[in-house]
Amino acid sequence: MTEGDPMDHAIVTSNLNCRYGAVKAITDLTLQVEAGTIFALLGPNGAGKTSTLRVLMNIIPPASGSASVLGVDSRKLGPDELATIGYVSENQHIPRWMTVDQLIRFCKPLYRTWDDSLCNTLLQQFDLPRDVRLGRMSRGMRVKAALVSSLAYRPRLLVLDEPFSGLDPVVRDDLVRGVLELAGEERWTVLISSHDLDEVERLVDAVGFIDGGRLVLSERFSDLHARFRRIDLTAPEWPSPPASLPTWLGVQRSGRLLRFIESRYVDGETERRIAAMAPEAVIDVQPMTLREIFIALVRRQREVSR
Amino acid sequence: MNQALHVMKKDAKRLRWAMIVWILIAAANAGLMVGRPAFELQGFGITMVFAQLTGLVSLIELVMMVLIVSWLVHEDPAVDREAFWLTRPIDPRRLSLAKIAVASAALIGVPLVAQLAVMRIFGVTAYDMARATPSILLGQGAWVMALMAGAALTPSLSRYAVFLVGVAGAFVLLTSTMIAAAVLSGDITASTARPEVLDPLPPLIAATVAIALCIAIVFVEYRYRRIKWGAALAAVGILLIVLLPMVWEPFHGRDLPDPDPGGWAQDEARVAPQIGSEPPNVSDEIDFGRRGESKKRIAIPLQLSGLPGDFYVRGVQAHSRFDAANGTVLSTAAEMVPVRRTGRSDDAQYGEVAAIQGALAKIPLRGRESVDEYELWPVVLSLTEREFAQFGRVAGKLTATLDFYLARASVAGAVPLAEPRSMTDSRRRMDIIGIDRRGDACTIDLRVVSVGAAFHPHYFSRDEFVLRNAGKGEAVSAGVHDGGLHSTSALGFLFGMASGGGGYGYDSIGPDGSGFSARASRYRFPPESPRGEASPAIDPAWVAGAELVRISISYAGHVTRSLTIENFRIAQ
Repeated sequence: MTEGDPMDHAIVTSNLNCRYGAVKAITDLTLQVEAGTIFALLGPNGAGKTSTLRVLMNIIPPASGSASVLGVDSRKLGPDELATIGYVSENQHIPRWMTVDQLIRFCKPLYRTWDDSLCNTLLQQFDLPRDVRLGRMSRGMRVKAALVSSLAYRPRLLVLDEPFSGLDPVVRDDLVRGVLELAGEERWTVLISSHDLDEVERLVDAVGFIDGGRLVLSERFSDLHARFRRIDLTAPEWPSPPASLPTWLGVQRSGRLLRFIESRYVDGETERRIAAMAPEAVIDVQPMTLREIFIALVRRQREVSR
Repeated sequence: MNQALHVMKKDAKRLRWAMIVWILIAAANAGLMVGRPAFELQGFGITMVFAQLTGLVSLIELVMMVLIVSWLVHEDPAVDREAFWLTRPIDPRRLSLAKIAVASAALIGVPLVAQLAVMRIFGVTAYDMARATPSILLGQGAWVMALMAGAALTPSLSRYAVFLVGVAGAFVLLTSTMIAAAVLSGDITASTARPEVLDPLPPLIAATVAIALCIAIVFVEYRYRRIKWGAALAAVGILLIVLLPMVWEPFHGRDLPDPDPGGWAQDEARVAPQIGSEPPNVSDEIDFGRRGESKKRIAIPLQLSGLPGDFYVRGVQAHSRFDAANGTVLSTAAEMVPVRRTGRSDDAQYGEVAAIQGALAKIPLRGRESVDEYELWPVVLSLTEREFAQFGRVAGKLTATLDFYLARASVAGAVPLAEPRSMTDSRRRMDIIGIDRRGDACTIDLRVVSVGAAFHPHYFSRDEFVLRNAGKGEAVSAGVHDGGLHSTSALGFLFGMASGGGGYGYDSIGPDGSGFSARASRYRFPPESPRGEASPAIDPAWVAGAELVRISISYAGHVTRSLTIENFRIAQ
C-alpha cells in the first residue's frame, strides 16, 4: 500500500513482534490500514491473524515493535479509545445469561455515541428477538447480537476476527450486508480477518496476506485484483516451452495446455510478452476471485517455505 | 463510580438466584446457631442429627461461596483473552472495584448481618457486637478475598476448581512437611508450663495483610492481566506473613506483664519447694527424630508449700544441674511429665479442686473426693541411655532453678437457682436455661454466650460451677456434659469433615477468644462417680436453698525458687 500521512491511517504497525512463550506468533509485522477503508487480513490457520488483532486491541502485549490504533499506542488503549472501537471475535465470550435486550441495556450506558435508532434498525435487519437469552440462541444469532452491540455506537474502527466462520450462507450474507455495507456507507474503518472471502470480496478496499506471522503482501484490493490473472496457453506442441518467470505462480503443464497465475499482470503488456515467448500459443487470460488469489498465495508460501 | 455501580447492578442481576440461596444458607446458619444451645443437650441422637445438619449446611455454604465467587469473577474474567469486557470501554479499576464490592456485600455482609442478628437474639449489647465485629469481618473477609484472588488468576470455573484443589493440596503437603520436619528434627520446644498470652491481634493482622494482598492481586490482574504478576504478589504476601512476625512484635503476639501473685510470693521461707518422699520417676523421652541415643527423663515429686488456699501450681519449668561425684556436670532445661497417682484424696487435677475449695473459703466442697489422677512432676534431669547407665545409681548434687506457674480460683459470681438468671463478665454471659431437680441430684443447663474483643490480649481463664448452700454450709461440684458440636471455622469444618465430624456454622470464636459463640453445657450436681462410689446426695430442700456459684480459674503469675539436693540419687 502507498505510504501516506500517518493521520490518514487508522492502524499502523511497525516491526511488530508477538510470542506465546517460545512460539513466535507475529514477526516484524509492518502494516498500515487507511482510515475509512475495509481491510481484510487474510491468511491460513495459525498464520497470526488473531494474534495481530489481539495486539491491536491491547488484549495481549507485543514482544517488540509498535502498533498504533486510531493514533494511540495499542498498549495504552483505554476506555476512551475503546468507546470508539467495535470488536467482534468468533470466540468472544458474550454473557449468555443475558437476553438481547439486557445486553443492549448493559452496553448502552458505556457509550456516549450510542444510537438507539441504529440499534433498532440493526435488530430488525438481523431479525433478532429481544427477549431470548443469548445462551439459547444459535451461534449465528449470538454473533448478530454481538455485532449489534458493537455497531450501535457508530465506532470509528470495527475489528472483526473471523466473525462469519461456521455460519450458514444465509446468516453470512445477512451479516456481510449488514455490517460491511453499513461500514462502507458510514465510512468506518473495518479490519476484518475472515475465511469467507467470497462475501468479503464484494466490499473490501484493501487486503493483507499474512503467513507464518509475517506479512506477505498488503495492498488495495483493486490493485491486487488487477495484477492477478489466470493464464492458459494452448499450443499445438511445445518443442521448447517458455521458461517460467518469477511472477508466475502454480505453473502446470498438461498436454498442449500450460496454465499459470500471473502475479504481475499488466493489461496488454503481459499478453505481448507471452506472445513473444510463445508465438504459436493461444493466450486465454481470466480474472481471479479473491479466493483464488488467496489459495495461490498460500500455495506459493508453502512452496517457498519447503 | 457510575460505571462500577453499573457493573454491580449487572452482577447483582446475574447472581440474584444464587444470592437468594446464599441468604437462605445464612438464615439456616443463623437458625442453627440460635437452636444450638437448645438442641445440643437433647441427647445423642438429636445432637448427631443437629451436627450432621450443621455440617451439611456448612458444606453447601462453602460450595456456594466458591460458586458465587466464580460466577462473579468469571463473568468478566481477568485473564481470559476472549473476555467480553476486555474490548469494551470498561475501566479495569472500576470493574475490579465492582467485583470486590459485590463479593464483600454478599459473602461478607450477609453472614455478618446474620451473625449480628443471632447476637441480638442472644441479648448481646451493641457495644459487644461492635467489639466482636472486626474478628468476624476479617475472618470471613480473608476467606472471601483469597477465593476472589484465586478466581482472578483463572479464566473459568473448571480451571478455578483445579486451582483450588491444587492450593489445598499444596497447603496440606506444606503443613505436613513442616510438622514432620519439626518432629523429626526434634525442634518442638514450645513451653507448656508458662501460659501463652491469648492475643487476637496477630491473626487479625495476618488476615488484614492477606485481605490487602488478595485485593491487590484482583486489581493487578484486572489492570495488567498478567498471571505471573499475581502469582508474584501472592508469593510476596506469603513471605510477608511469614517474615513480618520476625521483625514486628505485634504481629506475633504481645507480651502482657505477668500477673503479680501477691506479696506472699516474695516470702521464700513460707513459699518454698518441698520434695515428696516418693522416689524419682524415670521415663523414656519421646523423640520422633531418633537422631541420637534415646533419653531418660528423671522427674521428682515437688510441691510448692505455703501457697494460699485458692492458688495452685499449673506447671513447673526447671533449669537443673547435676554434679556427679567424679566431677561430671549434667545440665537440663525441661518441664514436667504426668505421673499417675492412684487413690489420692486431694489436689486432683494438679491442685485445681483444692484451689476451688480455697476460693469457697470455709464451705467444704463435696463431690470430688477419691479421684485417681495424674500429677505433673518437674523433670529435673534428661539423660542419654549411656549417662543414665553411668550416673543412674551415683549420688551427686542436684541444683535447680524452678519457675512455678500459678493459677488461682476465685468466686466470680453467684445467682439463686432459678430461671432465667444470668451472670456476665467482660467476655461471657451465662444464662440458666434449664433446671432439673431430682430426688438426690440437680441438673442445670447453662447457655454460654461468648463475645471476644479483637484487640484484647489476655491470659487463659475458664469457669467451673459449684452449687453452694450457705445455710447448710456445703457446696457440691459438678460433672459437666458439653454439647457435641465443636468445630469453629471453615478450616476446622474441613478438617472436621475429613475426620467424620462437622459443624462450622456461625460459631466464630477463635482459640484466642475473639469472635462470637453460643454454646450450652449441662452440669450435674453432684457428679456421677465413675467407679460407682457413693456421691453426696442433695435433696430438693438442699437445692431450694442453693445458689449457683461461678468459679473463675485464671493464670496468676509465677514464683521462682532455687532447690539444692546434696545427695541426690536418680534410681534409688
